[in-house]
Amino acid sequence: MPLLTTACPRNCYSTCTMRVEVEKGRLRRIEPCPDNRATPEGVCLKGLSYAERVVSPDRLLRPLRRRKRSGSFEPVSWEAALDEIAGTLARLREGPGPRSVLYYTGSGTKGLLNGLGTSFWRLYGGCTTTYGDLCWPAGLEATRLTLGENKHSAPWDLVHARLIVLWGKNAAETNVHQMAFVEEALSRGARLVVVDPRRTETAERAELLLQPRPGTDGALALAVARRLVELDALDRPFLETHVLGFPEFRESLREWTPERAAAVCELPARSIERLAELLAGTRPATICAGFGMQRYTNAGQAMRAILALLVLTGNIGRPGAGWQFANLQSHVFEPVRDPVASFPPERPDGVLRMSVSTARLGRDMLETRDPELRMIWVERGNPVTQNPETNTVLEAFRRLDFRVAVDQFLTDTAREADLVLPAKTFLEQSDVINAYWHPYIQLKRKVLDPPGEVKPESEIYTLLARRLGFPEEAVAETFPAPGEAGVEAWLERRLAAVPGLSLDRLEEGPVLPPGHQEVAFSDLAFPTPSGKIELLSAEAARRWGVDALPGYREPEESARSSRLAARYPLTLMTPNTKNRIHSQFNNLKMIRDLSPAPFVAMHPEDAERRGIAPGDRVRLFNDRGELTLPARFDLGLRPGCLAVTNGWWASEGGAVNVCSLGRETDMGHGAAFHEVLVQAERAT
Amino acid sequence: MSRAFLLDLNACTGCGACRLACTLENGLPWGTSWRQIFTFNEGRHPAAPSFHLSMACNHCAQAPCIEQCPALAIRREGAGGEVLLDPGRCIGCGCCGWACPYDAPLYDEEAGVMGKCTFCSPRLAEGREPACVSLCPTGALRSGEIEEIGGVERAEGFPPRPARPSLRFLPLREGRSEPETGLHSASAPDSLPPAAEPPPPGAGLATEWPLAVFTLAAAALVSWLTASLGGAVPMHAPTFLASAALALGVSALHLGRKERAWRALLNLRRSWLSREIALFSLFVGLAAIHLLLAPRSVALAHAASAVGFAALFAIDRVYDLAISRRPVPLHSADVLLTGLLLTGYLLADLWLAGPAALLALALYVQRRTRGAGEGGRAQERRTVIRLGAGFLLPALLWIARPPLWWECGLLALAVGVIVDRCELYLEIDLPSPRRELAAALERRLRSAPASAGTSSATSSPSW
Repeated sequence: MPLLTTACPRNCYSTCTMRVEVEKGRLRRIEPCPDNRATPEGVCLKGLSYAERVVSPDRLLRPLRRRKRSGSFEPVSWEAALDEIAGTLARLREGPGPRSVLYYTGSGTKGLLNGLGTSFWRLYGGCTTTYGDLCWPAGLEATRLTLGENKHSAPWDLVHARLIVLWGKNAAETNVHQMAFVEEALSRGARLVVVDPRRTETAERAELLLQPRPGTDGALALAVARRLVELDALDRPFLETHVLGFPEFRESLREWTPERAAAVCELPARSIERLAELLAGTRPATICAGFGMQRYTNAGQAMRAILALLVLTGNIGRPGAGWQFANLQSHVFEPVRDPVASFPPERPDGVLRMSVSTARLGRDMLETRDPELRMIWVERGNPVTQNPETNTVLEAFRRLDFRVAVDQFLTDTAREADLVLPAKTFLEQSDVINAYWHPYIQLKRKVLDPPGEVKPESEIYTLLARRLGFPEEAVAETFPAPGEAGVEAWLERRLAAVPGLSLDRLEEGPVLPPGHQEVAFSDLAFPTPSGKIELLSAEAARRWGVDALPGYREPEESARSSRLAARYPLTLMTPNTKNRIHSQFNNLKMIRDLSPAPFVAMHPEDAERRGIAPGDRVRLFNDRGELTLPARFDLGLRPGCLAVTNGWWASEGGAVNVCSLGRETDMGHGAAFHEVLVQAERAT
Repeated sequence: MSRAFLLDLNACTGCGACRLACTLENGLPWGTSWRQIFTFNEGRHPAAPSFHLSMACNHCAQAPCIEQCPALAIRREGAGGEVLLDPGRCIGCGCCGWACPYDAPLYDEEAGVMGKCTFCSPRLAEGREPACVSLCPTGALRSGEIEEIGGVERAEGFPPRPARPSLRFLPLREGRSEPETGLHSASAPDSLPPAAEPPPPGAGLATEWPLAVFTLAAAALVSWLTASLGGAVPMHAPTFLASAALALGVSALHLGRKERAWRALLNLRRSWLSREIALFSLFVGLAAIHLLLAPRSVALAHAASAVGFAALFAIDRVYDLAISRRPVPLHSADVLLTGLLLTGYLLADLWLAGPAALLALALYVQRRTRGAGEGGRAQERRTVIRLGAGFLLPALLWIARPPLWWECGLLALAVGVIVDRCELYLEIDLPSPRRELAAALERRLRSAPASAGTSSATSSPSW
């Protein structure tokens, strides 16, 4: 059987290239594709589980309609489903107006065809959309303000690092392919430090693990920066030529003694010293910052402080050195890149109303007026459990007149919908995808036919457009013609805008974008207002109201700052796991075998204080909601912290966002939903 | 020429992709795999590192599964010395799983047979690596000729190697120990509860009850026949033979493929299971001839009795695999011991019943004091029944001899023996990597001096 090259477009660092063997219309085998230098070995377990996912008996193969009375679902024909949607849309356009429709997209899959949704709603006359993002905007904005652009060196450059700091990143679970480069660097004698309140799989490779109180990374970084100044570990020529605001920053560090940071972070001062000594004495150094710590109210400022450590030591623009956060070099199709693309526009175009904060989805939906929201269309996302404040999101959902969800499975969000439309998997329609860790642009080739009555979103939108009587010319121009040939022609038109790109070229394998920098910023060009690296950012102060310098402020909801702490003294961490991408994959037998059921990880110290033994059911609660889960002891967890991996379904009893609060990060319109205080008690 | 796996303990993150690669390649039921991942120090004890052993079949040079398979379904084949299990010959008895120290053969519920890694021999024939090797995202698994593959033979917690497994390790990098955190003091092991849940029992009464019924029936039938020779108890041929046939039938219940039960006789040369079935069948056959055709042949009756006791001995040897950790290769519920005890009781022969009872009692007490079994209330109750009904009551009745003392004593004895035999199945303790890893961690923690120097956090939060 021939092997076909395709690529995984899911929301993940690795964005693997893979070769697949299809036998009698079924995915038989998946093999690695070494053409992608970042993922030359095999795909991860989620990628492999597609063999089950595409043919899972739970997969939705027909449109479903929820029965009003019982709440159960019955299959309906596409005709009936589309007629109902088109009828509702036509009515709403007349009545309260097109902006009574909220178009909500998650980050489920990458691809140029994703843009068709917005095109549809523009033709419809507009809609309401969200701004911001659940994931990473704080760090994107911190990086943009400091370096001018979100890019980093190629993943394989990491092997040249002599010091690697994985700061809040558990690559072994969330970016397993990076671990091959970490291992290679370590085998060449590099040092590894991990900063994480949990002793993760990644931390097993580290000589030093700093376990700060969650949300205090900024204080840790500032104290390390102060020590770097004291140790005179500065790259002075670099600072003088390429950096704006060093003298002011140095001045601001005076107060950040290791002892003060030790008290704030609840870490031994000696550990802070050791990190500073390693950074001072080991070059080149790369810091890889993770996404979990983006989700705090002080995250942007913390990220600026961490990035400053590399700036002080001249670890920018050199092989083996640098800041690995988001590598958007492959994002060549967007006129404006993230995070700015996800900010509400300064001058709204009068068609799309970008007014609902992703972070505050539930409350903003409830508070939207002129017009109020009446309908929601959800695709590529599962906001009911994945956005903060599940109970408020549910309330907002239930107050709407009409809900449509496009999904492959009956997720917690789909269960709330009136109509559920069956979605394709990535193997069932071609598209062109970018990545955010490696720099490749790839063809995600169609290798399977959609099963059952599944239609790709492009076709759904085209059928709706016709029903709503959009001008035929606009429809033909906007949407691909039905079938694979139409999609290819559509993609070819988009590719033509980028020099050197074509489907033929992409069919050969992953392609580097024009102007790719293997070592990011090796030209020492920084597209900031000053043209320098900005430790002092006037824009930060103007746009976000934070200090122009990196700084530390206690998180809003922490054991020290919040009045909640008296009643809810424990911090609930909700990290990602290797077994899922957020709320996906755990419904498959292949994955469930590795991760059978949710549990709460506790340090025995916290557990014993509450009379909790391993296996006991524990009630986690605060004013917003509660979860009851079996306890498992984790001796490597920071005492005072609990951990439940996020993405369990409400039906599994593990929807962690029942306890979180919708609020934004200090910059970038991210969601600060990792600041969650709870209490735990043995469930009776 | 023999092929081996090489596992890089530094590179393996325990992600599970190898498991899924195996599932896909071999078309196994979703959620099952022939490769497993065992983790050392899963609970992250601060005084030890954590790492993973990803293991499939190690295609041992002296494979205990080949030796123990009663149906001769496992053979060494292929250019690389692969140990292959033929599902067409397997009877699904699970003996290979009991014999394998690496838990490599696994029961396939759907097919009713055991299955295990084939080293992806079809892929090897095409010049490709096994799927698990090919698809490991970090390149932690390799395969190659054992002489050339390098690596070392030992890893902490890896089971002993008398079987000569074809698995090598790239050991943890020098200096890779537990990360320094300064936060957790490496306390003495006893002060910290185990972080991981106890491993699931290897096999239990729930699945193995047909074996309990069969083995007890065997002991009873051998005792009955033997005691009837001296005329101490009456023989009722139809009941005896029907019970014997039923016992054999019940024993087949635990096979995944009952229609192939006859294959259990194929490995008389090496498998105690084959011998057990053969000897017990011979016992029943001789007894049948004696009872139906030659009731006066004393020689035949004695031969049947001798073969019966040999069958009981063979049965006990099968369980040597399952109760692997014990100071002496004897168990209070051994059917040979039970057979002697019952025979002695039936014959009212104190010189036979007494020593057998005392030995069983000693073994039982020794087991209880050693802490075998799962503990808890249920076990306490069983202990009381075992001691009261199985030893104390028959002894008192024997001495006091009230009316019906013999019948009541026999009944009590039977209750005690049944409880004991059932406990054997609850205590099944197969050699497994999980057990070895837990033991290795405990050894490491006990040998490490409790390091007092690590400071705790500078200020103590108020949770």
